[in-house]
Amino acid sequence: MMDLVERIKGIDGVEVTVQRHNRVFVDVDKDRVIDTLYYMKNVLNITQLSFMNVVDRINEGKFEIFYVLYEREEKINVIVRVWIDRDNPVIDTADKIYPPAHNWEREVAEMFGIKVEGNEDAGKPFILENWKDMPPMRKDFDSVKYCNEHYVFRHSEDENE
Amino acid sequence: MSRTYELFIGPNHPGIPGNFSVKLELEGDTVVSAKGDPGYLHRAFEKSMENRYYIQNLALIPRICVPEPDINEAAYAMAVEDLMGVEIPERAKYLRTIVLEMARIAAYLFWMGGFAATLGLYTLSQWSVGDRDYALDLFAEICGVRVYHMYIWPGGVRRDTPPGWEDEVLSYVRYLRDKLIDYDNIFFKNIMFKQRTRGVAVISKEQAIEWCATGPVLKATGVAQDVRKDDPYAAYEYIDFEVPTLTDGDSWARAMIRRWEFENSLNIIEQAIKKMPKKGPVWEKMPNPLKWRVPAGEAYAKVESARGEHGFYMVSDGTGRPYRVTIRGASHVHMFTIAERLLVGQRLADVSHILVSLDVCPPEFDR
Repeated sequence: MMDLVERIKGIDGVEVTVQRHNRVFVDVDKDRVIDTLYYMKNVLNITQLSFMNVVDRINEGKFEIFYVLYEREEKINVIVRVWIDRDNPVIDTADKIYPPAHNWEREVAEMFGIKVEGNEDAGKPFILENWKDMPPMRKDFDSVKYCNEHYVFRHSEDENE
Repeated sequence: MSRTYELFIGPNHPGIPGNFSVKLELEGDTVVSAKGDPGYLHRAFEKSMENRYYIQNLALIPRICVPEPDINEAAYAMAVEDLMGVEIPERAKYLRTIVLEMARIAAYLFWMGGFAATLGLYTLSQWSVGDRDYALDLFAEICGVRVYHMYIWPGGVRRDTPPGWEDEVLSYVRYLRDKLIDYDNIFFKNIMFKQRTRGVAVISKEQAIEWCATGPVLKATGVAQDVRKDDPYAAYEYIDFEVPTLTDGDSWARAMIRRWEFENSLNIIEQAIKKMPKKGPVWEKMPNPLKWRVPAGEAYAKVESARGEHGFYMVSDGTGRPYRVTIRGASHVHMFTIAERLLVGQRLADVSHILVSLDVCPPEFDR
């Protein structure tokens, strides 16, 4: 196990945190994320992208994008994290490295309003239909306000009595 | 004039495995392109979780998956335990294993019926859905409800077993073992099943790895990857079982892997009941649910579902509600990365059984 972790630590510009024996977090700068993923796949042979998604760090003015990878030989999850500006959220696509990233990126684009360079489908409707409001998974999206504006509430029988 | 036409296989089509749709472009009855179209089931689970206490989410998460709700409870509980540094009691580990395997059996019985139906055999669906009902009765005895159990929760399980429950489970296992002979005779050894599925929708080992498949889809190509073995949780480290593999990679192989997994689950339940401590706590005492403060941090907890790797990524900011929870379901990859590629060139009559052979479950991407 240490072998893989040591090799990850050897990648330029990454910060590695070993949470427990098979969970390794790798923080990387935005400019280096695609290179890092490429290295992980093609040099370290970490072939599985389990999934990717986003955490809205609204207080810090950032989005945290994370990619959960899995290495089969040593059975380790490597989680690559990158923080990007919330005001101008743009990432490069990772679908040339990990094909499933293509559709996770569509979800990320729709739910958080992140622009994905190089993914022609990101930004097109995926799960939502005719959505005109702010991307709904952002922390400043007010679900209650949205419901009050768009839905008519039915009162229960008790209240009618 | 265009030689192709569009066909919409929507959520009310009997051949679609759940509330989503696939838009097909066909030439004759050959698929030229296939696009998955989710959105029919979106209930904002992930968003809702951010607004609720950790304990309140327990009532929400089983609803993410109807056939196999317990995987959500287990992964959620494991993520919370990871962040809190809680070790659960031994008996709770075994009870989790038994319940998770029963849920797997229930999911496979559902799947079996659906798969046979897409090939025109409805007898098996009536048998298997009927047999699944006995599992739901056993769930009702242990936790009071049949479908959404809310049984596995942070710290262990919600309550101990009622008297005689383990014997009833063992009796159910013996019953299913006998029934499996019938299932084999009517379906898995059926020449029609083999002729319809052998050599259809083949995925090579290299493709399965490149496309990041997990679960039976990956095992059917010869890769013995299983979270229960690779990152053991609950009591799986004490259980002796093999991960079944085949190398054919076709619709037949994916079905046969599930049939063997079904048998595996029966063996695992028997072992777990035999090895489980007869007495002892089933829940590590946790704080008042309304005052839980989960330490700040990030955790990824995963389990092996009937469809593959199922994980919860949880972020806590140290308050009483999760800051972010996001769910990794195997079907996201199996539908949008694999099925969209795999269906191209297939015949229309095979589309349904290919989708069911991938066991696409919409709540795993529509959450």
